[in-house]
Amino acid sequence: MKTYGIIPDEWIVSYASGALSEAHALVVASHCHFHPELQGKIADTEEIGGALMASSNPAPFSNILFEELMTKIDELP
Amino acid sequence: MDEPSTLSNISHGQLVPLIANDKNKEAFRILFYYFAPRLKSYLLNFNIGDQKAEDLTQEVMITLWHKAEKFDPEKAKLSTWLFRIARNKYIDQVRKQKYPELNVDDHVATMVAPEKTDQKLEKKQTSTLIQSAMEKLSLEQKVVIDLSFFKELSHSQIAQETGLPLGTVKTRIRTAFKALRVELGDKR
Repeated sequence: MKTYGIIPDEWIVSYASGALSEAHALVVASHCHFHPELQGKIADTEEIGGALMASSNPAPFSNILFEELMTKIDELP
Repeated sequence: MDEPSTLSNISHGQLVPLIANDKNKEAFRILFYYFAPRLKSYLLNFNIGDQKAEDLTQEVMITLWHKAEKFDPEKAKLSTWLFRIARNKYIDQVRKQKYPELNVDDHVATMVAPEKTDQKLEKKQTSTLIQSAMEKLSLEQKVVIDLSFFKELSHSQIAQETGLPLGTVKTRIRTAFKALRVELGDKR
């Protein structure tokens, strides 16, 4: 396993999924800032997260929520 | 909820510039009806309750409305972009943490060069690819990926939840991630 320094893949997965503490996430983000290969792995993992989100079973949503949302948006400064 | 028919043949990523440039409400409505129930479903995994999940989902969609110009379909998929926003809002508002974020979109091309793919086709198929790749994981691998993404559990929390040694949890995440990347890289 090539870990590119001190960050193994399981930490990349946890960072991208949002599972790390603030301190751990800072270590991963700081280290990956200097390693494009690791940034590519984070991007891949976030893409997996996005696809898992998009393939989730849709949760029931209030039918009027879109109109409520547009009203809220219109009222925002 | 019925989706409006106008613009329905345009890919989700292509709808975003209509919001950025023209504040097109129909484009936004289509994206809302598709993504809001799925974002809510993702957020409900964190046991925050129905109302909080809907509130955070609304905030994600408001961010899409106001910051649509920041989405670059050449660098990321819309589902990835929305996932990041939802994740960060959950961490910020529920866990009360600031999550240090890297802009990794300029380094996306590790598995495939974006210009070599049919973007529209790719966007439609990515969820299917991921699902297919997930189905090929062993049950043990799938469990740790689910707990990572849908519960945001740390390695030690996953070990506690599953009763597995910490080293085994790390190994399973690592091998699952490698398998997913190989599977996706081969197919895209």
